[in-house]
Amino acid sequence: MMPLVLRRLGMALPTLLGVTLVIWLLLSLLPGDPLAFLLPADATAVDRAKLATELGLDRPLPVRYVYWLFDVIRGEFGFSPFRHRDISELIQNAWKNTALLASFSAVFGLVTGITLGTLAGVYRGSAVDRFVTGFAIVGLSVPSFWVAILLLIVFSAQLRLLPAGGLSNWAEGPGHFFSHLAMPVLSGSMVSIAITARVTRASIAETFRAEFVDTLRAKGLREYQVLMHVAKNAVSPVLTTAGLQMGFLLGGSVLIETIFSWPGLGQLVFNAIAARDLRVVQATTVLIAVTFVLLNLFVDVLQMTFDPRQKRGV
Amino acid sequence: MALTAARPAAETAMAPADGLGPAGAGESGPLLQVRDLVTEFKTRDGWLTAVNHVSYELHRGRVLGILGESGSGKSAMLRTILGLQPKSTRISGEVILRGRDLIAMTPREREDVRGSWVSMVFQDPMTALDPVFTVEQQLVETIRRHSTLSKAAAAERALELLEMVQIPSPERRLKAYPFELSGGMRQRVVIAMALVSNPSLLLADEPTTALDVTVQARVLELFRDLKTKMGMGIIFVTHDLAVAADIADDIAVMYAGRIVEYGRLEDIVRNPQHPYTKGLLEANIRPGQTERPEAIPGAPPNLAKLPPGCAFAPRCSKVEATCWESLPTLDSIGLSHGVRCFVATREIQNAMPVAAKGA
Repeated sequence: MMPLVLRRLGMALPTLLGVTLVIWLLLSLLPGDPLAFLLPADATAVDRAKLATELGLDRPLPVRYVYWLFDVIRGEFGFSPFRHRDISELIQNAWKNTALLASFSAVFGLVTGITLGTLAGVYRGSAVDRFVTGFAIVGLSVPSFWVAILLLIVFSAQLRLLPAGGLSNWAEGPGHFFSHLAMPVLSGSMVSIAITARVTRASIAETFRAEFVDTLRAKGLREYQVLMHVAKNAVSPVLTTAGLQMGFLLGGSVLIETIFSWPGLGQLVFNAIAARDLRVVQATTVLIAVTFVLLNLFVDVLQMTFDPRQKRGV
Repeated sequence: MALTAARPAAETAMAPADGLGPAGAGESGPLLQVRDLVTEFKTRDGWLTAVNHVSYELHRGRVLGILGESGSGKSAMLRTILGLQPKSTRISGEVILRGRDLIAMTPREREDVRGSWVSMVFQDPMTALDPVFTVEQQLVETIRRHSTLSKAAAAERALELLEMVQIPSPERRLKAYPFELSGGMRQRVVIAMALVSNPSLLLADEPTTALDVTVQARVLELFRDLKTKMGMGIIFVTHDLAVAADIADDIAVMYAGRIVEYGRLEDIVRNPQHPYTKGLLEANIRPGQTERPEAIPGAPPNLAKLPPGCAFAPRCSKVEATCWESLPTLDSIGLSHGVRCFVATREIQNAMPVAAKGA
């Protein structure tokens, strides 16, 4: 199995390179003069050429890409003239906050989604099934920002139970901590719950129709034992969507973070775009893309442990 | 000899886990009595009668071959005996195995019976095994479900079972996943799984249909072996007369959910009476035959809209006016031979001396 993991890792590297190349090219070739903002209004052509040499902008494109790539690998994204901070520092702080929100949203979303989907898949055609299917459609159709605002109106403005925004750390006590997390997690995981529930339901229901289920029942296995077999066979599409959901959540939700003033990646990107702080946008995009590729790699390896055909390298 | 040696140990270990108690009375009589069994499925067209007032008996160490086209209710009958019918199914009648009526049992009791008193071998070995568990895992869980054996002891018993069904290098096959085995090998694994607790009754639903002809012959041999060495009763469903002739002691021919003729193998093969049975025999190619086999014209009827008379009437060459109006009964026409046909019964009675006519 190990060589297979290495092979899969080898396949991820070209993907990563491709991703960085596309992101870098897009932002390097954008129309506009990167020096115009940095130079004083009365700068001469000589000043201009000097600054370009300093920043390495006079070198050919491929060379500039390689230099940039090595900087990225070292975690050096440069300086943000708008925020007066190192970009890596900005990203580090934002990423920590997003990761906190994302992990709670992912755990809540996946656990709820898988539970609902399994119930619906086991009791196909029952009232539970209809409820879950209906709930999933609503969850997918209703925009998360609308849910967020609705929650704000009810729990913050009307009932005054939960804080309207901001984040808290664990040191301020668990009540404080969770009260700040509750609404962002709830509204941010709606889509994850809906998608996971749908995929789980479909996969479980389809596996129950497989002929080996008859064999399991013919052996006299109890219904929960049959469900264990079905679950292991149904896990693959659920894992794949779970990986994607995790990726989306780790990328930071611009809308949710903005509404709840959560200082994460989504908010960072939102502000950077508004200020045309292109290097921050570039760095964040690279980070999100890398997260996606790595998560998919992780999911693929996890899949192998569930599917013997992949485990034996067939 | 390994067969008989393994038996008592497994049975004593089995008793407590199942909670079925001792097998009831009737151990000396027939192993299985099916009485007036009716299975109806709910469909969009209304209730569909898949098994229509079927009765028969099966004795220990005998093989009952059930012969019929697809859609004749053969598989539905096996599933009813096993208790694997879909939820929206109406069942009436009795299925008495070892003195207990399976139909009257609670769902939990039926789970206990499945895999211990009665087991089933399915048609397609390629899809009958769980693809993501090893052969050993699937055997061990079955063994442990019906016994109190430890994991290690169950693994030993699993190995024994693979040897019993003559799988080459069984130690290696135990660790294999189903996709690593050939079709014939997988069917042997399925059979081994069915034999886990030495069931009294083995149900086989066309177990050789999906296999190559050479593999088919060897699997049939295995079934004959099991019958003689383990003394179990086997119901062997098939649409292939040659296969039935190879394995069965008795034959029941089913058409549209009803038994239309039954008898010993010789009765059916040498002296078929029902026009449908005759048609089945003629549709078969015999060695040395040069002319085209004669197919039965038409198709089986819609089981949701059965006619009041004989279901075979529309396809029958000997059809008479009464056949359309009323349903013939299953009449005894010999010691162990019966037929459901107005024409056949009359012809036999006419050919017999006066004494038999009064009966």
